[in-house]
Amino acid sequence: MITSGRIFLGTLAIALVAPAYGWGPSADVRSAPAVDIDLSAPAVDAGPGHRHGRWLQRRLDTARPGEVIDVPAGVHDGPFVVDVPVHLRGHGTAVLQGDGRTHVVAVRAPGVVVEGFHVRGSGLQLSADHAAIHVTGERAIIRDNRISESLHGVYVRGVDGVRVEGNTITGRTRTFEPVDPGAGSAGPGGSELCEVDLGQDRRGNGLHFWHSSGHTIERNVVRDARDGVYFSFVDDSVVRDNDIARVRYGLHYMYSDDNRFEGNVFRESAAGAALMYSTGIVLRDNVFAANRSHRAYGLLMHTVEHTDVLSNRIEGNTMGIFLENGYGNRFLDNRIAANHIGLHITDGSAENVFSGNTFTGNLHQVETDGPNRANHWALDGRGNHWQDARLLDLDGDGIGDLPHRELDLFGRLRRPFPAVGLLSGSPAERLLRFVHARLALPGISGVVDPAPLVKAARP
Amino acid sequence: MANARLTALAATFRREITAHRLNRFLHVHLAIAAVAGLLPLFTPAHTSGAAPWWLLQAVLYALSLSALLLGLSSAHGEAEELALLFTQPVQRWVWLSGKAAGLAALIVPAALLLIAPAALVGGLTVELAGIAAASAGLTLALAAAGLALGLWIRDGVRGLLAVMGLWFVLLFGADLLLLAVSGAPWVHRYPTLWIVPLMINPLDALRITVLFGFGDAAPAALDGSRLAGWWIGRSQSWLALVLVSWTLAGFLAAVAGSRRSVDV
Repeated sequence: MITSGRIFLGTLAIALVAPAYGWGPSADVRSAPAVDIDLSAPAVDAGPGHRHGRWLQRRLDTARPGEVIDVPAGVHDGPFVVDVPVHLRGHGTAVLQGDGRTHVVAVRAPGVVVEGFHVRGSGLQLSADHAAIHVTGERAIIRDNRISESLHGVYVRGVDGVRVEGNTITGRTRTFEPVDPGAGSAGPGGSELCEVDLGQDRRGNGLHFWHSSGHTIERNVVRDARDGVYFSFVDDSVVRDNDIARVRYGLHYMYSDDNRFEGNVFRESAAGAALMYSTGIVLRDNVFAANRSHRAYGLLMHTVEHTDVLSNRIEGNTMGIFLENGYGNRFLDNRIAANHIGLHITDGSAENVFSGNTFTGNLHQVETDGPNRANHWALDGRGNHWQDARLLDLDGDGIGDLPHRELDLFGRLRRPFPAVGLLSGSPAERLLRFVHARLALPGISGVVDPAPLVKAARP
Repeated sequence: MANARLTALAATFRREITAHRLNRFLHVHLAIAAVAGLLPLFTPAHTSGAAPWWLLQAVLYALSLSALLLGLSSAHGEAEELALLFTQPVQRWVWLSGKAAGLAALIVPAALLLIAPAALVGGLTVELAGIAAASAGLTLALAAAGLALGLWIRDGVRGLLAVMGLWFVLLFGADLLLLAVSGAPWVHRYPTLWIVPLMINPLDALRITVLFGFGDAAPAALDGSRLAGWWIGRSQSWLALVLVSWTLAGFLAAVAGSRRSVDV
C-alpha cells in the first residue's frame, strides 16, 4: 500500500502540474457580454380614438421648406412622401402607419429630419426595397425613431451625408400567407391566411446603405433583421456605438472603402461582421461576441485590404476572426478570447500585421493551412500574447527572448475530416502541442511570433 | 432469504465506510476535490461561468485517477481476508453490492466539494449542478472500473500498474491513436468508426459535454459528420448513458472477478 501510495502521489503531482504546462483550463469565460436592451417596451397604443387619417400627408403637401411640423400622438395613416425639406417631429406616441404595400415614409427632399416616431407597416417586397423610412434625399436626419413590422428599417439609396441616430429597429419575424397559395380567393379557403415564420433570408436589413458616402450611423439598436447594417458601395462613413444582435450579419459590408466602425456591439448572429472586397476600413473598440452556430464568425474578412482592426474584443464566437485573401491589414491590440478557433488565416493572405493582440481561452488559437510565412506577427519588435506560450524574459522587457510557435495540429485535416475537431482541448492534443512546440518538427501548420508578449495587454 | 441478503449488504456497506476512514486514497481524493473547487475563484469576474472549465481539468487530470485508485484500494483492502470472507454463506454479488454502495456513498458527495466554493460565491447554476452530477457519475464509473481491476488482479503492484495503464489509455492513449489515424482515407470514408471510440470513452464524453454542453462553446465545423452533430446535440444524455453503462459494466466485471479462486 505504501508503494502504491507513493506512485499515486507522484502521478498526482504530475497531474496537478499538467495544467501549468498548457493542458490546463482557460481563465476565460465563454459568455457573451451581458448587454441587452428591452425591446419588449409597451407598444404604441393605437386605439381607434387616436387615428388622424391622412392629415399628415395633406400637411406635408402644403409645407414650406424649413418648416417644423409637430405631429401629435396617435396613429397617422400613410404612406408619406416628404418632398419638401421639413423637420417632422413626433410627440408622445406618434405612429406613422404604412399601408403594407410600399415605404411608410419616403424622404425625397434634401435636409429632411424625421424624429420621435414609431414607424411601422411597410411593404414586404425585397425586389422593391420596401422600407419603413426610404431615403433618397441628401443630408437627411433619421433620429430617435422606433421601427417595426417593416421590411428594411432605414434604406438610404444613392444620396450622401445622411445621419441615422438613436433608432430602435426590430425586424419582422412573422407574416401572413394564404393557407392554400394555389387556390383563388373565390374558392373555399382561398382568402384564408395563416401566420408563418418569416425566414431570415426573406427579412429586410436594419439599416441599408447603397451607393453613397459621408454618413453617420450611431446609437442605433437592431434586432431580428436580416443584416444589421448593410453597406454596398458606401464610402467615408462613420458607424459608432450601435448595438446589433440576432441577425444574419451584424455588419454586411461589400465594395465600400474608407469607413470607420467604433464602439459597436455585434453579437448572437451568424457573423458579427462580414467585410468583403473593401479597403481602408478602421474597426476600433468594437465587440464581436457570442456569434455561435456551426459556421458563425465574429469578424469575417474576405479580400479586404489595408484595413486597421484595433482594440476590439472578439469573444465567444465559433470562429473569432476569419481572414481570407487579406492583404496589408493591421490587427493591433485586440482581445481574441474564448472562441472555438481564435483566428483562421489562409495562406492566400499576405503582408498582414499582428501585434499586441491577446489570444487566450480559445480552443484553438490559430487555424492555418500552411506555414503562413507571408504575414508579420510582430510590429516594431512587439508581438502578441499567447495563452499557452511558456516564455523566458531574462531582460525583463516584457517580450519573450525566444520566438513562440503557435501550432495548428489539425490544420490541413479540418476540411477533409471536420470530425477531428472533436479532439479539441483534449489532453492528447495539448500534450502533442506541448511536444511539437519544443521540437519544431517540420510539416506542422502554424505561425511563429518572433517577439511574444509576456503579459496580455490591458483591455 | 431477502432479509439475510439485506443484512449482509448493510454490514458490508458499514464496513466499507469504516475501512475508508483511514484510507489515504480517499483523503487525497477529497483533498483534490476541495482544492479543485477553489480554482474557479481565481477568475473572480466570471466565477460561475469559468467553473466548468476549471472543474473539467481537475476531473480529467486528477480526480479520474484518484477515483480509479480508490476503487482499486477498495478491492485490495480485504485481499488478505477474502479466503475467510468467501466461506460465509453470502453471495458474492451481495457482498460486492455493499462495497459498491459504500464507495458510492463516499464518492458521490465528494463531487459537491467541487462546486461548493463557486456556488457560494456566484450562486448555484444549472451548469454547476450539471458539472457536479457529471463529476460524481464519472468518478463512480471509474471507481467501479478500479474495483473490477482490483478483483481481477489481486497483486498490489500489478493492480496499480493496470490502473495506471487504463488511466493513460483513457486520458491520452485512445485520443492519440485516433489522432494518428485521422488522416487515413478509410477513416474519412467511415468517420463513424472514428467517432464511436470517442463517444464511449467516459473522459472524452465528459470533455465534449462540458465544452459544448455546459460551456456552450460553439463547435466549429463539426457539422461534417451526422453522428458528431447528433452526439453534440445530446451530449448530456449521452454522457449519462455512458457513465451508467461503465458503472454497471465495472460492477459486473467486479462480480466476475470476485468469483475467481482465491490464492491462499
